[in-house]
Amino acid sequence: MSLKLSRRDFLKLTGVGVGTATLSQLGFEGTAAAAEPARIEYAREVSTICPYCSGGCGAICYVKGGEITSLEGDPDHPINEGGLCSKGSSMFNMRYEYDGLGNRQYNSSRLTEVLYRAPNSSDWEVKSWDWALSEIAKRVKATRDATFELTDDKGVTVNRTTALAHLGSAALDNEENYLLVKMQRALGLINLDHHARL
Amino acid sequence: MDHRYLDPSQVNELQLPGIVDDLEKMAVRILGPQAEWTSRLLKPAADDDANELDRVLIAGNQLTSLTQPDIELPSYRQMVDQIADLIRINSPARPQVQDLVPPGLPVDEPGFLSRILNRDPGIPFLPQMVCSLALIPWYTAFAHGLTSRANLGLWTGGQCPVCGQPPLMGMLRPDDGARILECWLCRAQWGFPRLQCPSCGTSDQERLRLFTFTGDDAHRVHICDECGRYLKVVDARLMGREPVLALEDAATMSHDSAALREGLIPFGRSPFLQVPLS
Repeated sequence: MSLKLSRRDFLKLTGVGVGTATLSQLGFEGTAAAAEPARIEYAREVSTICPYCSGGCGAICYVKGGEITSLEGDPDHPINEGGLCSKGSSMFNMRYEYDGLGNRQYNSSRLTEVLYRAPNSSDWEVKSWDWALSEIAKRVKATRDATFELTDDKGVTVNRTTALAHLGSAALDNEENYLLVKMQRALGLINLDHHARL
Repeated sequence: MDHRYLDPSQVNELQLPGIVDDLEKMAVRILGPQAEWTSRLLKPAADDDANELDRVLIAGNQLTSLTQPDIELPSYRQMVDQIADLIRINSPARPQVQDLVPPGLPVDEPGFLSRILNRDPGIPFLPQMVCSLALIPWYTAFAHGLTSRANLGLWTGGQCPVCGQPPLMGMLRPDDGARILECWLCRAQWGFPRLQCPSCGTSDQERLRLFTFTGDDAHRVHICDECGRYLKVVDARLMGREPVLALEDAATMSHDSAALREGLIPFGRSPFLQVPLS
């Protein structure tokens, strides 16, 4: 598909139709010598929410060819009205980084698989998600069973464990947080917090 | 994928017509007399109830539904002649006055102004352009008196909250990047969300896109594939100065060409551009 636009095309487009008065009647025709090439670049603006804290600031990503080219605060978002903090401004770097020559590439520090460091080990091992989830479940159950208190030292029923804690995330929505709190309370956890408070 | 959405690998060459500089110079020369007439027409603020103005806006009606500008036709005729003269002098082809203001043009007749505002196809392009440009000072002065009291932030429409006309262009505000639209007629400015089409109101981001020319990120064309309309927008953050949209419009005719070439219809109204409306 060609987007070459000739002078004739331009004049047709600026009038109601061929034969009617247009800007060309005023002499605004241009010349071939004055014409200069231009390249059209298409992009989209896509809104997103900053994942860092519980503020939930809005951002607009510029997307060209499926890749983010830049990012800015969403001026129409009621929370941040176009502003972004230093962490939010760095959202772009969650996905990309620049090499020494200024070329953009995917952020090499971004984790894309489960890494596990065993107790007393200095090395990370790549594990599967199934292994990780199963291991977490086993350890949570073992810890809970070993530390669960039915009553406190005065005999009051407490049904709790103080050996486990849960840290939430700003990337979770209301419904996910509701379910998480329900689950942790059912397990007997009493130490629940949120990473944005750190 | 929409058939009009090009893959970035399909970046194409476009030949810019060489008219832009000349047209912008002419627009500059028109701007001066327009500003002089506007300042002459400014009146002390009327005693309209500001709350009443706000109620009109909240109801979704433009302010001209409440009050209308007072246009003296003999003065308007003077302005028409002055604009025509400016265009004649500053146009490379030096057209005849009768091409710009035909002898039978009923400028003095009641009802003529509404024909101009409604883009009566019976009025040829050049007289339409001259009469539109001549009308701007009256509406600008009129809007100045109202916008100082009305809260245009209450307006949620894509058309002008003062006179109901389409915008000339948009601008991304230097402070925060919010999109501000400016009326082609009364120069009133109002905010409209970036990720919403001011023509059909869609917020479907899959249907909204934009294009720029390589090397010029300051001028962009916002496109809605839902209604097939486009709006030129200047990113004032990249301009380093407050843009004068009446000049930016003239300077970005090439963007109109590219958008029209794609089959898009302008949502904005430029006095320098006349295309079939559908």
